[in-house]
Amino acid sequence: MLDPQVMPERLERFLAREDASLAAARVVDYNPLAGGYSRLMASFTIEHKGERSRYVLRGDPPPGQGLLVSDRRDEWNLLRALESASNAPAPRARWFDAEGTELGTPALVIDWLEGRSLVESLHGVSDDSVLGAATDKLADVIAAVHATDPQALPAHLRSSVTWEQYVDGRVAILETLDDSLAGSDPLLRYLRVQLGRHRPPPVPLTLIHGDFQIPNVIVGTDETWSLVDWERARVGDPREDIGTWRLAAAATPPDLVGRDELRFCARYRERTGLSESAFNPATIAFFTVLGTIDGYRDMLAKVEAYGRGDIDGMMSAYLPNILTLMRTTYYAAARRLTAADSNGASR
Amino acid sequence: MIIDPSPGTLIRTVSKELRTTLAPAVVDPGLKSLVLMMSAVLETAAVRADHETTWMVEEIHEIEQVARDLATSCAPESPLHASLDAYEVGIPSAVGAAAERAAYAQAGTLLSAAIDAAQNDSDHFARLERLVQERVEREAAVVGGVALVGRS
Repeated sequence: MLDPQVMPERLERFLAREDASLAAARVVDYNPLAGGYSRLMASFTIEHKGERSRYVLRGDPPPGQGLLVSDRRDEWNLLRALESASNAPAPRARWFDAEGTELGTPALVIDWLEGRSLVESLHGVSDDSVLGAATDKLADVIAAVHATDPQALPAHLRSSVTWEQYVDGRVAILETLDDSLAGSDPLLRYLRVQLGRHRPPPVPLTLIHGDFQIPNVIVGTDETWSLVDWERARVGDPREDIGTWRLAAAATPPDLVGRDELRFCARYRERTGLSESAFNPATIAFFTVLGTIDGYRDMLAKVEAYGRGDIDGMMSAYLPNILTLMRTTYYAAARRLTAADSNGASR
Repeated sequence: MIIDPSPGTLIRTVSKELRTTLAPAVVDPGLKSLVLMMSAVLETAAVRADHETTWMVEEIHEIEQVARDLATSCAPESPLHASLDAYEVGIPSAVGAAAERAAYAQAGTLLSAAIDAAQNDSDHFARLERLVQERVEREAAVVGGVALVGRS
């Protein structure tokens, strides 16, 4: 999928198969995109009847090579559902090669969003009023995702679990991880203790993006914000998205939540109707761990497989750096939980 | 055997060349990220070569000390006593990097048992918390901060 020599022709065949009216379309400007850790991505342009349209191709890497495993069909079904029944700001999904028979790997074609990433948009910005407005807008965008009607979601995202069952399941990931390690990991044991002491009040489960971080926010030319990379979307606790943001922002600033957490919390509560006891810096800290612990588990499994010599590759060697970032952020989150005990001010 | 320059110095030299000479000359963004990842991994290897053994030995000693102090205030039937016994039996008698790693893993298990045992003992829990913090800080020092290649 990363070979610009062969992909335009393959895409042309695929498009003609999917839509007979595109039989004469030509694919130009095929460019692999860097930056994704788990999916292969490329941009390309379709020339057809004198018009040009740009798209993104998202495909699976070869088996065993992706950082995290996800299902392109699930992503396709979700994006199609969001298009028709949600205000969630997502790109439109156009075509899907489920088996990879034409494109070489299961892949979907989505609209290219004209604009730039929020990382670029805020690069070098230090004006408090600009960053504050961005914090508000971020709260609005993610609140819109969380407001998606659960009935409109595709079948694989419909669930009847209660909040307690769901959170117990997430906690169980941490417990199982700790119990299964050869030689216990004291950080995981410490997190178990602190999360057990600071279980937050329940809130309704919602659609969550699952990988809510600044590189996945696109600022359109009309200044609308959209979210890309929906591969880890699920029904979960909405606070997981905010916790994920804080984790990722440790490596990719600016942290629009952490720079003024009380402002973000107030705006998000205003948009969602959640209470202050349910949504505050301490509950965000709780879900900084719980919202991302499955990713930690999956990456740790890769590191262990690499250590055994079962897999190879530069990304495998680099994974300990990513895990270290997560561990540093987890510890800081746990300390924020305990700080909230001693001063109610953080709420 | 030539022992100078140290392994850490040699590794850092290669890492620096990758980062400052090779990476800027690479146009393809995917390949550039790959080169920068190589440099970052070598940097972690250099820090480990310089400090890993010393840090492991220090941490093992601190964990033993806190766990033994905590055990004196625990009831005889506390699982911490059994964990301490298992730790002392399990400490490898051999020397060398593999033995140090095994001892470090054993000490980690002991630290987890101590965290379990200290949940209602705020003073000891605070000491254990500092040990966890020290471990996390050293892990961060190994990777040289929180920046990730291709993400900032």
